[in-house]
Amino acid sequence: MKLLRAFAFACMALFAPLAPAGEPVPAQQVMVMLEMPRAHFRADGNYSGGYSDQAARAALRRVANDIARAHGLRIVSEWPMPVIGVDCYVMEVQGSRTAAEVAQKITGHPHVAWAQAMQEFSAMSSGHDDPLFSMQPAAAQWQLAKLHEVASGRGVRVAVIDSGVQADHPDLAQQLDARMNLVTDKPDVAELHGTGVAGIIAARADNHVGIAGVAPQSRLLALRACWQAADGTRCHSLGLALALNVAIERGADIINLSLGGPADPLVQRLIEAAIARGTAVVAAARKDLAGGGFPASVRGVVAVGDGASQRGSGMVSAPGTDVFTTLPVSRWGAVSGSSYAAAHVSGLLALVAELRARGRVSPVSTRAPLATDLVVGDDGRIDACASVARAAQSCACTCATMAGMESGTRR
Amino acid sequence: MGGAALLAGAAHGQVSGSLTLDSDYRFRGVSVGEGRPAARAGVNYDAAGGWYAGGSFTRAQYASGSRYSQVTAYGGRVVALTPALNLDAGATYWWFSGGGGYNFAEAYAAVMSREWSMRVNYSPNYFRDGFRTLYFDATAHRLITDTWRVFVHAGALVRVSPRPAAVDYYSDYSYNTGPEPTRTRWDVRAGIGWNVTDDIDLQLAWARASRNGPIPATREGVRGGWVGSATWSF
Repeated sequence: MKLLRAFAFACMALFAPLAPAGEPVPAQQVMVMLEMPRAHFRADGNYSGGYSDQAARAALRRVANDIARAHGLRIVSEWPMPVIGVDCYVMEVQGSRTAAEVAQKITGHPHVAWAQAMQEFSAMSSGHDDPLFSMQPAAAQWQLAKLHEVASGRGVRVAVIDSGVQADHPDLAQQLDARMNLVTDKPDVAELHGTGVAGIIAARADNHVGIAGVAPQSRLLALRACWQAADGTRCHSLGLALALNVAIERGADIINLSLGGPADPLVQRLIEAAIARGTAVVAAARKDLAGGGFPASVRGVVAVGDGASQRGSGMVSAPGTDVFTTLPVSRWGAVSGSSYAAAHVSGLLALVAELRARGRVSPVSTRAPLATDLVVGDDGRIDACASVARAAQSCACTCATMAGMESGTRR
Repeated sequence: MGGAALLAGAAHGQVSGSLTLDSDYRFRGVSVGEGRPAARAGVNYDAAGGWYAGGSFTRAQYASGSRYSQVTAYGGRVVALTPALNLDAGATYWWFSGGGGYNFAEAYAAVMSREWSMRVNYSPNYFRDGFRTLYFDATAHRLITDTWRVFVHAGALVRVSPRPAAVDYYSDYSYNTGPEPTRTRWDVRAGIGWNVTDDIDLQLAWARASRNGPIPATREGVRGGWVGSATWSF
């Protein structure tokens, strides 16, 4: 065993991310702290000054070898720590014993200050490794990382009726169940609005790039019913109607309509049919129009604006300013508008839908519209944590904190 | 701390020791045997609270070639001044074979860090020559790799007794009477050390002492020279 002259530190605190499921569990290691006398004058000193403690460490090595032999351990490394007066020996536990058991047996041996298992720590980072995550308004305002400890939209289908979603965007590539173009007279390309909305709802989380969607494990039906024109994103009645048909037929749980326009009987009939089947329909609202405009004002549609709104206006609000999201081509950027607020709500309702399906609560309540689980403040702002807690019928953000306090160190 | 009981250090003594071969036994820079080798065995006992004691046995030769033995015993205590500095104090006694005419005692105090130490030794009757002395010792080392180090030492042996008018003194191994010799002997040593294995250490150094000063004196021709040492620790 080569003598390692690194003084202190590396032994005790290992800061490393938790090993993801599937990685092999490392052999258990026990750390044996031997009492190391302070260096002092010795008649046999080597005359080369300072801590001439080689003889003392040789003696400790004998002790360590005896301990290793007596307990069936293999010495891995030695780390003198003069600052606390111990020489730390790392030993590998062989067989099926745990390091904690072995440490218990060794503590009490002469010359052993104490023995302990090598323990693992993990970094307390934001919860997602997507680099732009911390810049997403939902990360702070909705405590998105905490929500994702409870639900992620798994098994929920969200139809995005919008302009063209970039299907091979790095943050969206595996998130689409289907992509269809229902505006056949316009060339099918990746477009800003649709890509941005899709990313807010379901951008892949923990893929080391970009952002994390509100419901990163939901499945998207990207239905292109709109196109990007010089002066904005445009849609027409036919495209919307066709898209709504597809969404309903394909059993979408949530339909996102980040758009507004004149009251349209065809579109309204289809929206009402979707709602009747229990599909949640979310639409972007315009504050300057009664009821938020169309289709936001249709009965049963969740009308979403960004920023505070009047109580009783029937509108709710979600983050919609300076939202980082996926954009074509294969990039990310900040967008603003109630379109993107609506996308947040679609994602949140996907979390609610997953919790309902998982909870298998009584059939009556599962038939209640998803939006009934939304907890909304006086100013219309959605309390995402409370909404998820209500859907899960347990706690969400706050109970995650309390669990951490119980298992962590006491302050 | 999770998973282990903290035991407040059972006070069991630790015994350790070493065997050393020197190509030239220099005591504070003075080559007693004029380049003749010596062997030394040392043992040390560390008790709780920083108390320690130990001894050594050295077999060396005088310049005349006759062999002699030197036995030392020491004891002291080391405490922490700061997390990085130790304060060490104790006393040593030297016995020399061949009549005991040189036996003497010394007290010492030192400040030591991981890389350097500064020590002062006081003897009331250094080598039984009737003088009080102080020996100042500064030594430092630095690791240049995991196993190689360089070191340097400077020492000053100072006679602190009042200046004698005329005295019998040894200088250059001649017996003289006359004006008192210089009161201070400087000695320096610089070298390189190699930790070959966990237990074996080799050193090569160049050492030199100034002329005169309190006994033991050094002859002109051998004031400076190379010294090699090999130590086995256990």
